[in-house]
Amino acid sequence: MQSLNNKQIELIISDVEEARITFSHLADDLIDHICCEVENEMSFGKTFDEAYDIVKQQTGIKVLQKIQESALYLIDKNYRRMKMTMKITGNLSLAMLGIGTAMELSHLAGGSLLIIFGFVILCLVFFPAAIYTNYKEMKVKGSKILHLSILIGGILFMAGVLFKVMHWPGASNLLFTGWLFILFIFLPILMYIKLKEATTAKEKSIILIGIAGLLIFELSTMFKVFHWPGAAVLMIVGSVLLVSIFLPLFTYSKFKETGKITGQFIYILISAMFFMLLSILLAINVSTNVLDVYAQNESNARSIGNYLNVKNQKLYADINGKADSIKTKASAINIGTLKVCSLIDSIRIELVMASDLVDKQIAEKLLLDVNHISNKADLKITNSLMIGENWNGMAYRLKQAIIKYQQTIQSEITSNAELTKNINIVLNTSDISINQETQTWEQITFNENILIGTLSVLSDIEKRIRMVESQTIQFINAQTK
Amino acid sequence: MVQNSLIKGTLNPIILRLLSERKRLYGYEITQLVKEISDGKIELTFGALYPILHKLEVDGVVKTESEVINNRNRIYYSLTETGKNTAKERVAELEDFVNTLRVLLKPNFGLEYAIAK
Repeated sequence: MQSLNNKQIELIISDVEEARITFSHLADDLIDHICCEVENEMSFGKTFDEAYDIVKQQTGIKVLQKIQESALYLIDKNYRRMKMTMKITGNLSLAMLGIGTAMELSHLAGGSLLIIFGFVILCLVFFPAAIYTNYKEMKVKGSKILHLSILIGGILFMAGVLFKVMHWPGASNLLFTGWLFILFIFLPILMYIKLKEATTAKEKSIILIGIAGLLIFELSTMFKVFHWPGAAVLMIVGSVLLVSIFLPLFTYSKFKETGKITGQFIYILISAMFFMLLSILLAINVSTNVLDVYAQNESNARSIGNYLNVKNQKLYADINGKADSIKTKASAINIGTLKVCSLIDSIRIELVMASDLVDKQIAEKLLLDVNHISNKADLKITNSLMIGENWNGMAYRLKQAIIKYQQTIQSEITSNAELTKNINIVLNTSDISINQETQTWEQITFNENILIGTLSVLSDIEKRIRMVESQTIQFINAQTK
Repeated sequence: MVQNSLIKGTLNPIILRLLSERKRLYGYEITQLVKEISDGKIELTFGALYPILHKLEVDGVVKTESEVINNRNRIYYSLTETGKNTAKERVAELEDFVNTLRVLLKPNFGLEYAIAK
């Protein structure tokens, strides 16, 4: 039988190497087998090229990889279990996440629980199983650290996303550590391994661009989440590198190499897209965090209110040295203001006590910085406590108190029509008709509002009351000079 | 050609039987032997062969040695000491199974079965 020459054998070896057969001596087995088949075909008078073409049809990369897979499957019990776990939990967690999201969107109970469970399964079962099977199939130098780093970094990152979405504490730390693992351990090692595998200079530069793009893009998301400057520039550079340079080059070279789009290529594309989508979603979600805006509003209103209060106390002190008739007027206003403001304070405390299930003292402490309240986004508390069952909740009581306060003020400043008019606008609590439908002030101000929104509204009302108080005392003070 | 589903469970003992007859064999040789002996009726694809060989090696039934032949590594498979017993057991098992099948497939098995007894 005719033997193959060195060059021909080298061609076959390089083809088999492309399939990345790393298990035991399987690559040697396969190379020898293919050589024998080719030699056999050549013994019927075919040239090497003709013979190899025929044999190649049965020994494509996919077929070779399948052999390694089934060898691993037969031998390694863990591998078999992991593959099975991967298939089951992958589908299970995806279904849970999907149904959970749908339930959450339509405000059905249990939606967030389902999302959390789906996430935990995805994160702690599917992901490690997928990494393990990949690790078993790919045995090159440094792959242990590579897989370990993406395992730890990936779990931390995904847990961070979950924590962030659920507004649990510690999200930033998780995300940060996860990113450190991915950016500074996983990606550099991946680049090292891929560059070593690459044969041509062109291939090397494509890999370099891809990984650099990925690195910059992830860095930009990290910058965005932590509100560091320069995120936007990084994100543009990263996505341009990835989408408009790396992707076309990679697609073109892959297509040129195989002449067709393989399933593996589509798989890589889809997983890359998901990765980017998740990162973008996170960046957007964080940069437009509505809850932060509410908290900011609340604290602004509160500090203006406090400032006015200090100012008003000075005015009261001034008035103390004046005629008795003025003093009586001022004290009526002082008492009226105190009443409304203490009502607002007690409403705040009751809301927080109900939402976070804490006692009065802790509720007062939490209110010093509303960011510390756990259930900031609670929707039900406002409706049940402020609106109440027959529209007789705390909002109604507040409205009555504001109206009474308005009357007290007006009786003291009857001579000033301009001020009276302004106060009526600032403290307006009348019903409003929208689309021929009358809505009460309570409805408009508090209905379907999240807890932090309600707190913000309450602080705003307090601020306005302090403003009215300030204007009124100034007027009374000036009047008698 | 025999259907794949029929061959599946019998490959293991077939390979062991061949290995117990020869001192050592390499993969391609095994596929050719099976083809030759079965008159082309059973074709052992290399996709089925190598996973089984590797599994047998991990289980300690066969051992391998590598030799450079025609500028490439050729892996020879041979039975280990314990493998020789395993081979006997598995082949006996298969023979028993084939006999049972034969009896089951005989149209007038009742009478022949009685005579054979």
